[in-house]
Amino acid sequence: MFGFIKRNLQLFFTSGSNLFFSVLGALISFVLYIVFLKMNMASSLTFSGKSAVLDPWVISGTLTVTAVTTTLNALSQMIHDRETGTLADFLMTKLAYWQLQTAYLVSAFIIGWLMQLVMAILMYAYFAMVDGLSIPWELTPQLIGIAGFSSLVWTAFSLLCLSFVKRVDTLGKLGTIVGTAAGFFAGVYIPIDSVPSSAQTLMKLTPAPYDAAIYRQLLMKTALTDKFNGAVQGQKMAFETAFGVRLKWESVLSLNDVYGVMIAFLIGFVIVALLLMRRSRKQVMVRI
Amino acid sequence: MPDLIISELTKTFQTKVAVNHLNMQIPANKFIAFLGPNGAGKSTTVGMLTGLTQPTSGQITLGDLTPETLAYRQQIGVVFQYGVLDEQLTVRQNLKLRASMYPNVQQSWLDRIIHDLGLTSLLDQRYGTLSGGQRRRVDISRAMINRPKLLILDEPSTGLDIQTRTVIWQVIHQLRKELKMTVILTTHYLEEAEDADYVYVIDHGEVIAADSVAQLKHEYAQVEMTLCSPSPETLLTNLQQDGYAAQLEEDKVTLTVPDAQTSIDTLVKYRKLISQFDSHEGDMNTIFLALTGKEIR
Repeated sequence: MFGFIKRNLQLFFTSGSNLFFSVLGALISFVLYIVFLKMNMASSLTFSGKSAVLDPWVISGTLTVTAVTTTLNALSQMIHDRETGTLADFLMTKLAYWQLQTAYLVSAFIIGWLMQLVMAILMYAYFAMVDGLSIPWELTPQLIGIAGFSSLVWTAFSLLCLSFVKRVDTLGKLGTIVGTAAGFFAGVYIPIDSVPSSAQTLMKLTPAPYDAAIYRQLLMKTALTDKFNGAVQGQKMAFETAFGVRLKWESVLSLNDVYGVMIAFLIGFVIVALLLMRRSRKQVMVRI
Repeated sequence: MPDLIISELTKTFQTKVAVNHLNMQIPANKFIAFLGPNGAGKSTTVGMLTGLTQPTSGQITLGDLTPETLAYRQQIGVVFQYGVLDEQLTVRQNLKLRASMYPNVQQSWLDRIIHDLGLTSLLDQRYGTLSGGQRRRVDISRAMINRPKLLILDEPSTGLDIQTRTVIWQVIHQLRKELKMTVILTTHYLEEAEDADYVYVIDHGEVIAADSVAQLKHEYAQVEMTLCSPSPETLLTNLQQDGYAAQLEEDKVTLTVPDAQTSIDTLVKYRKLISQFDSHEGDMNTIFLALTGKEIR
């Protein structure tokens, strides 16, 4: 199984176009931010040194988008292999169908994890150069942990999405839809408070804003404490809920609540995907 | 290896019956050909033999093993109709990966099949950049990785040049002897089926004839004769008077007779009218024509 996982990683990382398109959604949000969204948002903020707050904010959202799109892209190999008959060939080996499926999931999980870390490094490097943002090395272990958790949830989400896909042709379309929607759902183009409340509710029905919130609470913590030091009580909380650092249901969710919601999503995705997967083995031999 | 037994095997897709109550007993170490036109149900049968397609009813057994089991699949090697290796990976990476997915594959064995199939110089090329013939050779080496007891080739030489076909068959026959391997070939190439120990002629999911090539020829193929004569018209008239369905084609008289004996009788009887002759048994195409009343599609 290890060899098969290695093969999946190899196929993903040696294909330039694959790599590029898997992070295209993330790159778009990042570039849009640099080009004009940042300026737009900064104008509404009253404090100085806005980059210190906004840069980690966009990094957090972009990492969420990265997790969504890279895991989906990586797991697409499964559909591809099914359609080309390669999966049929692998089924001739000692690996059972469930082992191959597991290997696809593990590969997608690893890819999503690594790609988030790569994107984090790239974005921090860029902001360090351009805005003089200091890189919070001390947060590295937590960042790695969150990236892993987020990859896990989105791999399960991808599995669920792909349960409905039989053809490579459909994959591209699905990838476009998910990639575009991910940025919106993670609240990376505009702060969650700036969209109508019905849209906010819709966003909260996906794991995206929760994932972004977990990242934001980690990466923006120092900057926010710093900026709102001595500010009127409630001002910090107002900013945090407006920018999706904290999310509100009836009341503001604690970090543990957010993790709880994510875990509930994870379990839900896995259960539904497993139910749908029971019929998928029959589709292995598409070409014969 | 025990016999491969197929009993009452049936596969239906919605309303279409692809394979219809197929029965076969394939002894070990034989070279078997499934001959039939496209859409005859050959590939569906192969799908069921590999365990990838579930039969609607009926059974396949190899001793105690059935195709759903991993142990069964460890015994077989499959050359799929389409290349199924990873195009982005090199030949070496592809083969190494598959080898790592079987228990106890010896490097020396891998080296041996790579050498036999002439892949040494291609090892570091990407599978996707290879020509059709090169790919097929890689596909066959992949199927041989686990020293299969049963090798299934699904139309392996479609679109291949004659040299590649020759190399491929030399290697397969050599390995078949060495490994005492049963080979099942599906094809609509008549020449390929001619080498088989036993041929199943399949059409519309049913076996319409099953025998050795020699027997099939004996039974279904007639002897085709071409006679040259100084006076072809006279020869033609005489033959037709004797009840032969003879024809005149470009000054040569052609006719088919049931067997070799009859052809000798004919030659003796009309020896004075014959200056040259050619006589040969019909090939698989004529057999197919005799069986189904149509050319192989």
